[in-house]
Amino acid sequence: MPTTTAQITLSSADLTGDALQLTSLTTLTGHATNTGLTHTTGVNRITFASAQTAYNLIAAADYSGSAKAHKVYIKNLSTSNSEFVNIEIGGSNTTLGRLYGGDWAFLPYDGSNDIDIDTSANAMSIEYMVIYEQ
Amino acid sequence: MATTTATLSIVSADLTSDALSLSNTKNLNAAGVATGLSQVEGVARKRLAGDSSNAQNYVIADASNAKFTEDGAAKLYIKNLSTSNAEYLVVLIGEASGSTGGYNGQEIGRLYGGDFMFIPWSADTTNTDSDIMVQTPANSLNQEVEYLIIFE
Repeated sequence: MPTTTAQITLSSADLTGDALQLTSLTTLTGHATNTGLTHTTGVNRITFASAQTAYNLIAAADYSGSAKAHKVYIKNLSTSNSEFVNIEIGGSNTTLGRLYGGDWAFLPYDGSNDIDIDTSANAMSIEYMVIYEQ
Repeated sequence: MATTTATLSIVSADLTSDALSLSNTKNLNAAGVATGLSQVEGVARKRLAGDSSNAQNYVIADASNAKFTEDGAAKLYIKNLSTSNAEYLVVLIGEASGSTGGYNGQEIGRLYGGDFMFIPWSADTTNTDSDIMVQTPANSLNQEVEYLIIFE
């Protein structure tokens, strides 16, 4: 089975008086097993000619079950600090948060809800990937 | 203003025939500007007592707390500290309802032992608060979670 790892590092010398140097490494495995996640959408890049509202980026119907250990990566490729991608969860489009230019997110996804996005301007590009189990 | 950097690397030699090596680094700025985020909560580590019969919700980030700017550029890191692949925390966005794991909101996903997440958070209070909660399943006792909120 494949071995895929994800590592995050959060660092700051001056956010508080105690320098932040947080690193976490995990191997991406299926739910309740040691078996690595086996499938992926690949790294996708989309450019939207116009600003989008509730664009369905990830459809729950494409992923089996609702207890899985899928992982989602999304990045706003804009270089502008003012252009954002709004991430929304579920049929009621609950706002999770905004990715401003260059920001990225990495989150667990169990296949129970759609993930939609809004984009704040024309000609914005995003990158995304789902790594998942069957 | 503070300079905080977040780096994510996702690597696999064998997920597909094309080796995956994705890396991103970003300075964490306030909404719409090039000024670094300046406020922080954590890094915190919590023991979640859980319940032998019911799921239990624990608020990690409270949208109605006035210290959080709605529609800002807050970032949230959460890690399930368990070393067991079978132990998971359900990550929710919304408001807790009742005392036995009920909520008004949406399920984001499950963090199994060792998993982490890093998300933007809008602290939205329109209609239903967008609190970020972790839920321990029934009969899941004394799980531990680590979290960090960086905000403006």
